[in-house]
Amino acid sequence: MTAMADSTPQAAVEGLRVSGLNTRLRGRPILEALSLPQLSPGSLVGLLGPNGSGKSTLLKSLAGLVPSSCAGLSLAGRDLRALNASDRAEYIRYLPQTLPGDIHLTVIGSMQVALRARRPLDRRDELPAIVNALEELGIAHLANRYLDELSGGQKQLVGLAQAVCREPDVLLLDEPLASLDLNHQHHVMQMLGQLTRERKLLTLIVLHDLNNVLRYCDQALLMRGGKLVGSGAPDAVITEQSLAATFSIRARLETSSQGLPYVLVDGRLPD
Amino acid sequence: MPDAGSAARGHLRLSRRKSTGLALLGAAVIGLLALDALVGPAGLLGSEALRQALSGAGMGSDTALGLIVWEIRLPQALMALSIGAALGLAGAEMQTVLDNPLASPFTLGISSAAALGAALTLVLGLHVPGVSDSWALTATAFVFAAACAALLDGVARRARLGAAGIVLFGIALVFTFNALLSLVQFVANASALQDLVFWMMGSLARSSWPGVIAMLAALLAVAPFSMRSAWQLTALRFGEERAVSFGVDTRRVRRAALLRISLLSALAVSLVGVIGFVGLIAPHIARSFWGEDHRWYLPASALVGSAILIASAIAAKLVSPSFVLPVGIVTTLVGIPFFVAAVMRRQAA
Repeated sequence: MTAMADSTPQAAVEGLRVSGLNTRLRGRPILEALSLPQLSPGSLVGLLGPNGSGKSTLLKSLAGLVPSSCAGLSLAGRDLRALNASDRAEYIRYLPQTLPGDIHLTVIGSMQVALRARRPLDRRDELPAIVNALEELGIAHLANRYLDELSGGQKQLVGLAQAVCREPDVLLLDEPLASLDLNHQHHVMQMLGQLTRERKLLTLIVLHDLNNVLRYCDQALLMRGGKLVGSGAPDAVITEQSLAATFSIRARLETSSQGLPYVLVDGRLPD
Repeated sequence: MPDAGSAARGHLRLSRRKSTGLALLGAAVIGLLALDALVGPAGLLGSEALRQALSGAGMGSDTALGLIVWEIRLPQALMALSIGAALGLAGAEMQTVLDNPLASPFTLGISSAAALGAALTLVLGLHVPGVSDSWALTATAFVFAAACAALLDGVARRARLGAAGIVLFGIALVFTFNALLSLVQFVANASALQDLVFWMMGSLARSSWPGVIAMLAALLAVAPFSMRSAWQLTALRFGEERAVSFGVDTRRVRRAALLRISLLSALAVSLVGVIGFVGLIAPHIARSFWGEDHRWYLPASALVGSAILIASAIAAKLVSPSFVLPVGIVTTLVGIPFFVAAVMRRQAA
């Protein structure tokens, strides 16, 4: 991958480009001069790293939700730096970890908000589109239930449906699998992979389960201490050495009887 | 698992039910309004007397009944309707933008700030050239209310106080403004003192047609802006970050809402004084029946506010045949147990 000059014609520039990103929170530098490899549409990118390595801050910085400075931030050649968070949401949609627990609003109502809050859309096709989106996630039977009656996992799925319904170019998901059971975790990962490829999305997803990254992601980014310490194909990024260096764990990569790579963790490394 | 059609049908059925509920609530408010005009210290009006009073000479009626209905009861009843709606709407928007079910103009000090502003104008005898004294009073009440709302918003955003912290901060504001109000009272002369006491209790007794028209006009001016922001306000319920991800400019929505809240609260306070708890209770009732889709939640909260205040006004007249209680006392007595219940439910959750 080579750095392209600013004069490159727009059509030739694809995907999300991030360079020289600095973010400070309450006076403390969290990200310093962070640059990412070019990320292309249609790829599901796993974001890995220990707690406090700056994964959430990176997503929020890209979405414009925390103040940051950036040498370069562009999507398909469009400079996003001047856009504020609400305008940037047209292109980049960030999904926080959880939905608040106490909203007395139906699932369909929640989807309508996600669709209409920015500006009124053509409403004739809205309801079928919403029901369709809910069906894709397997929650159409909850359509007229209230959010404050749903389980944590069900709410998580509604939150995800809100994020994908507006069809952004870039989807930033902060631990979307938290509070989902095994079945739903795999369901969501499969669905995200499918959506990402079909709609040519770029999906950045913070995951803690390394095996989900190996299995579903096209690319992985490994962070530590606010810096990018590895990027590329998941099985190239996730190695015994990189896991020892970033997570301080002793781990092995083995191939299952079905031929899939798995991370097996033997324990912590001595401090 | 139901088919796609049934989910959509269920949604439409639910929407229809909510609209019907809202229409019924509107009818109930009109019924209460009529009842309010019928009862009072001069006795219950029979249907014959009422017809005579209404059909007679209208506002110029010079019969005793006509005077009572046109000059006392109707302005008071319509004042209760519009003030209740204003407080209900302001309370609903406030609970959303401050993300706090215990927020209302009364509980977080906006009403007290407005009362302090009004009291200062009254006691210091401030005159704004070219503005009649009663509107000057409304204007200072608004300035104080808006300053208080801005302070609340600033603290809620910047100090990261959390929901409970904001309520404590708001209650501290209430005490502060009330203490300052007592100070103003202390230095006031006798006639100003009488006016002040009237304000601090909250009473419909001084309702006049110009006041009613001003309050209704303010409501009609503000409500369309509230309704236009309905989706953005609903989005705010999902939290700051998610609302932004829906493309909502949260700061602008919040500021506009706080401006509307200040306007409605200040005008209400300058007309009838501090009437507590309507703005707190009405949103809770509206929310539990109509949900938090603000297209229903906002009008329902306004109508519930009207119903509560008119019912309180009727109760205030029925307590004794010889006098009418200030309505603020009734709403406070009814409101405090409700407030405690809301706090306890919040603790339990």
